[in-house]
Amino acid sequence: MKTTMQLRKLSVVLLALLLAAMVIIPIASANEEYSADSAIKNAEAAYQKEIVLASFGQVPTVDNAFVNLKKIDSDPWYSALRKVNTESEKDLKQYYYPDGPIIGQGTDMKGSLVVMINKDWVVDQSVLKDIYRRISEQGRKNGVENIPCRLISMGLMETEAARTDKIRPVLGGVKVHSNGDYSTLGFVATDSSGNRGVVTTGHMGAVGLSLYQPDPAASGAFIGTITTRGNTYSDSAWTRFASGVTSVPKVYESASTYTTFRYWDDFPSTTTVYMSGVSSGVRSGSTVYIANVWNDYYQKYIYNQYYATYSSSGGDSGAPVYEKWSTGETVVVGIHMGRSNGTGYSIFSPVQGIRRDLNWITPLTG
Amino acid sequence: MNRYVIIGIVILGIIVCLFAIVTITEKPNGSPEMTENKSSPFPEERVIASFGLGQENPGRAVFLDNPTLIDTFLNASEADISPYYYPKGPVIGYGKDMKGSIVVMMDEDSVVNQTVIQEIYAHISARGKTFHIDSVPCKFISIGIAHIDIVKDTMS
Repeated sequence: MKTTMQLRKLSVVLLALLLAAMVIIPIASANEEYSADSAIKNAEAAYQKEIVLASFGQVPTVDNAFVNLKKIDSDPWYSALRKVNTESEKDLKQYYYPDGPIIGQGTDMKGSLVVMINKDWVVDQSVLKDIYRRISEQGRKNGVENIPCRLISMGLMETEAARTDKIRPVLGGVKVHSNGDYSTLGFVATDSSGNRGVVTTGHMGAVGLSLYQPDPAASGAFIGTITTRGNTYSDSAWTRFASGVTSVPKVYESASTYTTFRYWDDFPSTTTVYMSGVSSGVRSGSTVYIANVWNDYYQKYIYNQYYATYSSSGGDSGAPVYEKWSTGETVVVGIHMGRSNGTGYSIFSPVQGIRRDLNWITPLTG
Repeated sequence: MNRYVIIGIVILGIIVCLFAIVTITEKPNGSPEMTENKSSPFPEERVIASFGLGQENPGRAVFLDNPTLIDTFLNASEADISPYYYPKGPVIGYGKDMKGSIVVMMDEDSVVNQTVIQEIYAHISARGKTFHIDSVPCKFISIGIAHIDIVKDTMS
């Protein structure tokens, strides 16, 4: 009897301890970034990281700092700021991206106007002063003297688009379509006359066929007509852009990372290469062989192609192949051609072969 | 009393285990895109014959020391090898590796014929003599024909 009582007591103690543990563990492991205090800390930390290029004017009252976001719409001070912003748009048009450095305009949470300046622009203080002069003039017209305004350095917004979405400006590593097939866009280049276009795989379509990014189902997807095709030293094609198509010398690596090709090189200079394809994403591997390779599509040999150990799959043809130097630069060295059946090797055409075949086009760098 | 100590240790053990389980099952902070960049495993090289690959072969260092020479050699010897090119013959690739060796790629679907391999190497060796290389470093590997990576699009 006594033993039974003791066991019951122990069971209760054990259960209580287990319950306590179950409560303590979630509290201990809760992510603190969801708490209100830490949200403010995060906001302040963000302000500390702000790169202010210039600051003008003065906020009339400190009460405006960290206002209730719900009240901003009806707040008279913020209404005045918004009006000045809207009315100064026309005066600032010449400074708007891509012709100028302004990539955004708005207000901050401290009661000041904010002008976002492209971080890649070489700062010219006289331009910053002129931007403020124009804003200040609009402020005065709206009864706000010495309007507070901060000009901050900011990166261009990059959308969270998938590789298969329509992406403009056009860049490498995204989906292209021709004649019912899809593959991956290689890189942006210019021809000997300075016309811009793209390099894609040659085995997707003949000269004269339309090229789309991403596919004909998307509105405004047509980017040009295949102009030249190469199959002696590369498996490549050149498509000069149709009028109005914008492009950048970048490669899609993830939805939030479009990396700029700083240089191009005829051949890889390091053993590790990367491939960024529509189907496989970013893959890396080592170069293993350089050989004349039988290409079943063309029923002929293509000279001096590279074998590498990165993996690939259907849809990756034409994908940019590039290096990442230890100094930080990303360098385009070729486009993906295909893979050796069943052996795990991928094959790519080097830039030199592409250039030889496509009338010495020049990869665009930035 | 001893029993209480043992029970206490057991409870402590359970709590420690729970902490461990929570830590292990927590999601990693990395975004899905971060996992995208994967290095591929090195595929196994299927060497079916090799010649002059020994370190003692003085001809091995010739190509390693002079990368331009191996390209000149390949250009000069291509005409000797082309009669064996696919689809008439079993050779689907002819080139070099990153270690200074000539590489002859043989179609994995063809039956390996040692006589043909000896014949091909005899041509390479003869060409090597004109370059004053007694034993040309060379390997024959079995490999699949290049498969292009395009796909029919359903979004047409």
